[in-house]
Amino acid sequence: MEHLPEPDARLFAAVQAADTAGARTALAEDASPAARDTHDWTPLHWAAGRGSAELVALLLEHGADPRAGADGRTPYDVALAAGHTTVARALARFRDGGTWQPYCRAYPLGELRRFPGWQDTTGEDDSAVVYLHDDLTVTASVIPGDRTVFAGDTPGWSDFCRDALDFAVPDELDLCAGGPA
Amino acid sequence: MNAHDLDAHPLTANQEWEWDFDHSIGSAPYHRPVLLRLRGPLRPCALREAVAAAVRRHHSLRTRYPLVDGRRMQVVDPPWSRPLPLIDLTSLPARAREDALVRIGRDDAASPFDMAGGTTVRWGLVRLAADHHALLVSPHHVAVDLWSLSVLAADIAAHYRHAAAGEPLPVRPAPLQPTQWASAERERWTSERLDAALAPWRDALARLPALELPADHPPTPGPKAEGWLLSTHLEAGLSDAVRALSRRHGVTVFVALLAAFHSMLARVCDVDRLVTYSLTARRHSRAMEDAVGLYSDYLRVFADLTGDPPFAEVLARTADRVLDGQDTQRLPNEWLLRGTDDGTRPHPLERVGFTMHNTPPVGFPLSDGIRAAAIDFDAHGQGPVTTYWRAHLFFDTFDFGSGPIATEIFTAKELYASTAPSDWARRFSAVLARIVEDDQVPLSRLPGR
Repeated sequence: MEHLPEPDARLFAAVQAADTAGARTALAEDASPAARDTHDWTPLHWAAGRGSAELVALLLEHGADPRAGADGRTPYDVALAAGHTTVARALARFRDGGTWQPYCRAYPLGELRRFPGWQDTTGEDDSAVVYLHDDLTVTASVIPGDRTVFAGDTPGWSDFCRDALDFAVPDELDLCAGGPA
Repeated sequence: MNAHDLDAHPLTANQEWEWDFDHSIGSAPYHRPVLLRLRGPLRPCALREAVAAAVRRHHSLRTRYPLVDGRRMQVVDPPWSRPLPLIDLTSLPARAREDALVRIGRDDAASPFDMAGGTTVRWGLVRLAADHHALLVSPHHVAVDLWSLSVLAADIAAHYRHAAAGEPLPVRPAPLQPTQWASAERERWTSERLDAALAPWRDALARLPALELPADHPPTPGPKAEGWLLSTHLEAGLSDAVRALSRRHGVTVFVALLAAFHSMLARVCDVDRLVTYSLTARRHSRAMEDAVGLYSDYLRVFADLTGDPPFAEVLARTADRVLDGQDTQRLPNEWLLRGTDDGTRPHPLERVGFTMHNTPPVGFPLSDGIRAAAIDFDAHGQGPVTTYWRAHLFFDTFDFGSGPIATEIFTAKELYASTAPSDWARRFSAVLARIVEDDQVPLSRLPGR
């Protein structure tokens, strides 16, 4: 932290140690929540990485930028990758998008054939596996647009996907938890 | 398309070779995707960050190869933020998920790349259950050679560990990029230097006798570069005997096998001088060690089997030629071929090849709690399959220090029936069996056709 002014260095040290009181003191002494360390991280990135909801709230109260990017990652991205669900949910209102795309889900063809407007010329039996993509097209391959089985532009198809197939592009928050690193 | 508008760069010499080869076979698939099973508490978002970081760091992972103003060029696209598609198998019955996973690998292996307009690396994270995933990494060889795969795996694993721990991703010096290498090559290889380097090659080729490979039929018109590929292996005992022979003579297993291969060809084709080519990683500098791209090249070994030497002498001569080649051969493969092109196909320096791979299988140390294992989804089964390569005969061998030495044998359909790889495997095993029995056996006493 040699390159940082003193209150900023103390703020980073406190956040990295999950020391909320120390962080509050540093902020009161005019430490900047927008400061960047040698990793180009802000204190909010570190708080998100530590999974400290208290520190995240404190920094946001003091004007920390929740959309600050470092190597393409916002504090939300940092919390998400580390599996800190609570912090990630707290920062989710600042994210762009939030669903995991590209996405496709495998189904046995027979399930899709229950759609009244279904038509396919695959010649495959109901157990054949096909892929429903986030744009609601269906292909025989995981590669979008490769060996299209159903174009997905038939009226009622979107509702069928949601209601009968329980299809939804997952929110990345639902994939966040995983387990210990 | 205009080079200036696109920020397009010339290709490296070997990217040019790869581009030409891909287009000569109509972009037919000849790549080998990697499908890694990951069991344990994976953090998918951390893996996504790790892949994104790797794509940012290594330009070849986001490069395409269009024709620009009529010239083959490379265009590095900006990094995209979410390069890892999610493929969800959890709606399938449990038994069907495993079949679907294998099918994903096979389908990808059968899918060509669009080098000009599309991506040359395909990715996917397959989810079978909350604690069971598979990572698909499918690169065109122009983007990732074999050495690069290990570099890429190490990078992704390191980035994953930091992302999953809520830490910044490691900051490291920027690696060598293919555009930089292309520029350095063009700067080094002036026309004067090129001509000087080509002269001895032209002399050497002019002095070589014709190599008449025994063929199943006269050359037949058909798709060029199409051939039969058979996966087989040497018996375990023979493999161990080859390793022991190598140790006794202070040579590598590659040298021992290459010497045997040359001996086999000399007997079968009735020549005493020939040339073969072998794939090398060519990572001559620190900068190249950490680079991802196509940096591999070929080592040519001009075999001298004159004087009916005992095999031990062939071994010594081969070792000398290999070491000399490794020290002196610097001319990029594509420019060497172009500069010595006599119009015959395959080019005389590409007719017959022999390579040994001993790079350990790609590891993927994401974390202590996650077990990674490569999935073998190859559908090769028992017989030869069709694949593509520029050679009449090529042996790829795989030795990891113990167990049977695996071999993949390619024979061009232009000359051979589907039984040819087995014939060559039999000949090679016969020669090896003889030399491990008596390493002083003269060349003339080795098995022939």
